Amino acid sequence: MSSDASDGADAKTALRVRALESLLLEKGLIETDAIEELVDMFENRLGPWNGAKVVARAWTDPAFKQRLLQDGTAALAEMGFDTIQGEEMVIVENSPGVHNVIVCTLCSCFPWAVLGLPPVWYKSAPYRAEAARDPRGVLREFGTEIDGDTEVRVWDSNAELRYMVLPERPAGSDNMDAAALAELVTRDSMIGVSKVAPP
Amino acid sequence: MGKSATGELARLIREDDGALYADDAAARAIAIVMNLFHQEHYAWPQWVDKFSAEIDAPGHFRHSPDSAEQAEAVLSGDAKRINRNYAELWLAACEKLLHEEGLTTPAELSAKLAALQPEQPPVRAFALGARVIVRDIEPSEPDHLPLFIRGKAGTVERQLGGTKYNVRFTAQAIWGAEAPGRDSLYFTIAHEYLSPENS
Repeated sequence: MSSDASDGADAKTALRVRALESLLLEKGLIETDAIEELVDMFENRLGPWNGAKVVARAWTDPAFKQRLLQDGTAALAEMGFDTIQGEEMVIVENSPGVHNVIVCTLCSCFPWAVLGLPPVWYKSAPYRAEAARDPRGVLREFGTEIDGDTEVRVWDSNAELRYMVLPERPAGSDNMDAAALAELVTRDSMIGVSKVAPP
Repeated sequence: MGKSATGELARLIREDDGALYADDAAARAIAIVMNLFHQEHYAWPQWVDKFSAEIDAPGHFRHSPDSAEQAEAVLSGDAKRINRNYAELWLAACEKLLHEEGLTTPAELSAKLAALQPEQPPVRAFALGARVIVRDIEPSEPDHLPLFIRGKAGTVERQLGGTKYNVRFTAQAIWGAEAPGRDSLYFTIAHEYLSPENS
């Protein structure tokens, strides 16, 4: 597809969004400030750095980890990461024998509160189809090899329930505090397509 | 799916530049859906139901497998294409949901869209002073094009509304060398009946 054609499509969509936004403004259904506020939230306040803090705390605070695994929604709220779409949050823990991966086979349901908006591949048809059919193959695409003895669990997110993976704490990180540990935690490790690399 | 889909995923992973949406308009469309949800105009599962119907993921909808494959193909390809098509699906679902909820009507929205449509700049192929030749073609009603000026050369004197021009012809250009050398005639001629003299 030529860039002219795609730019034309972008412009068309942009105009449709403007029309919708201005109609809703006129009807008093939305306010510009609220829209700007949300866009700012997507851009600057939601993101995997939030989930990284949660993971680092779970690694360093056993009581918190227990609460997190028991009632993810409540434990996240405790850290100020409230549900964004009324969803329940379930945290699934990776361990030496178990590797978890999250997907939304239907569309693009994602744990916004801790990871922000989903990356482009998460929304793509191949990931959504293949993560369910051949998760080990998909993990290999991310450079993650799961040995045959390890169980792979695929979690299908939906409107009401979202997952986040609690990755394994890497070797060689024993002396690090929560702030330093959070730096190690990547977005992909909390989706479960990769592991946290040792420092 | 199979090999090619996984190859596509590998490319998406490799080329992931962190862009979470196509452009500012796409972010605003997400914000609109969020804002109206916050105001409880609908529940989030209702939104997901609408949006996922646009995506029409194979394996979720039993109806029309052909159209499902087609719809799914739009969330394939490169990152830019996926983010652009994702925005389009999002917007289409949003419009449908708002119409269904009675917040907007299709007529209101298309009127708004028409009002925002940028005005097409008029075709101004001929600059002031340009030399033009009257084409020898039958004008469409209600236009008139005197036979005696067809094929004759003149000069654009003035640009008029509706892509018409005042064209000046010397009397000699129309009537021949016997006509008085200082006289001239002016005709109003639409753009479509003129061509540049040196073509």
